[in-house]
Amino acid sequence: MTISPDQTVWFEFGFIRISATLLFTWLVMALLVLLARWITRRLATDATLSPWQNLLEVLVEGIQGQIRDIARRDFVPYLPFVGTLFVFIATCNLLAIVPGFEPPTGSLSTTTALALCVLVAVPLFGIRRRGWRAYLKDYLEPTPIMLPLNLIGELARTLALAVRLYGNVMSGAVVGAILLIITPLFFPVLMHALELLTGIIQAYIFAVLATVYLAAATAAHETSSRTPDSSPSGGERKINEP
Amino acid sequence: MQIDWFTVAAQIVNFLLLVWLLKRFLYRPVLDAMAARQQNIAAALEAAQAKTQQAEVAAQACRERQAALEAQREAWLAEARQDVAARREEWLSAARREVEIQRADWLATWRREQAEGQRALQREAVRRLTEALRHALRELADADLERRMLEPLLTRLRALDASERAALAQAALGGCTVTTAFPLDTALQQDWRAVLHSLLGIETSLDFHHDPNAACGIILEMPGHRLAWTLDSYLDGFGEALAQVLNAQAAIVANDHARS
Repeated sequence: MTISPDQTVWFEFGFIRISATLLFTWLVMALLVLLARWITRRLATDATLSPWQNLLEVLVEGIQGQIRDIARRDFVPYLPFVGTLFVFIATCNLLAIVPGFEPPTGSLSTTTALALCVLVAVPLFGIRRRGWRAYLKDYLEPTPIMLPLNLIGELARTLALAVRLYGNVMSGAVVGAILLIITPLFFPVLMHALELLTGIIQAYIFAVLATVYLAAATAAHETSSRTPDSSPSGGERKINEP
Repeated sequence: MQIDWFTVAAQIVNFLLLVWLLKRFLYRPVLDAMAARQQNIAAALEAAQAKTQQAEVAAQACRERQAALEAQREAWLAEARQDVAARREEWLSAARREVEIQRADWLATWRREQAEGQRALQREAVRRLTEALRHALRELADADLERRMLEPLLTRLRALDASERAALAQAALGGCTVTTAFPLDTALQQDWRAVLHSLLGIETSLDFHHDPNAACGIILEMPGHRLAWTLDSYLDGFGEALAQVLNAQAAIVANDHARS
């Protein structure tokens, strides 16, 4: 029994190691992109919707609602990032029920990569909205002495994101494998069902925490800036604008 | 628990690529579709609002037109009522006039008929009364009564002045006729001759006739003159006087009816 899909290597050439993590990640990516492409090729703009379009709109509308409730501002810049986090993690966790599928989120490398993306996205969004000075000044608040603690806090929450998701998914897979050995009949089925719930909850928690971090990085803008257009980015942009 | 940094880097790239792909194939089309639907709904709502306003304007125009028609209808009805009232008053006036005329005609006819009836009744009453008196007197009449009737006639002859007596005498030369209802006896005829001779102063032929249908009394006739004293003349005078009294009473009653 392997604890992480990273240990299952399918191809290796030098430092390039194509593990099960990457393969299943590409599988999930292909599944998501093809499904999205297939559904969105003919979107109806009238009142009559197909069930799949309805599903996508409910999903997007739900993510928008969550971002709007948490960030209490325009959700459009966060939607692709936060939405992709939730959709990718949820899909990986849900597909864990498929025999033979090893969820990439059970890999610490994957969760670390996602946490690093959040770690980088937070200052990017903050700088984009508020500018360099205003964003970096937050690390010196309330006093410059707090700079190390603020930096450690940033790294710690990134580490917490990665380990929380990895630990939950990995523990679910490991516990399921162990229970399958001990009680091979009904109890693993219940555990798999519980894993589905846990996987959705973990995806939700990861996306919500990322939104909270993004909102916190840009929230000071509302109080420190008197004019909304004072940021270098010139304010928020719609997602469909170039 | 190991971290494969190549996998980390690859997963970062994979995630960013997935973000880009989903942004292109999922979020943007879905958001565009939702925005387009919202625009369609907004356009539909706006069109519905515009149509509602148009309908409101049309309804207002319809209400105003209805009010105008109602006012015109009321005006027409008022005019028609005035025409009807005027026509009714005119017809009522004409009917009243016609009724008055007919009533006046009827009243005149009724009065005329009443007057004629009263006159006929009066005439009949006078006739019957006179006939009754005349019958009673005839029943009572006899030769002695007629002999006594000579006295009034002789009184009248004696009351004539000289010129009238001369005229009668001249007329008596042509002959005199004495007519009575009962035959006079010879003595009475001699008395008549003597009296006429003494009154007129001439001798004249005197013929005596009796006519049972004649009135009770005596009639002296000579060419151009006639002297008579009969009960009929009294009865005729009585009848005329009674008719005058009854006619006056009928005229008073008719005037009272006309006033009522």
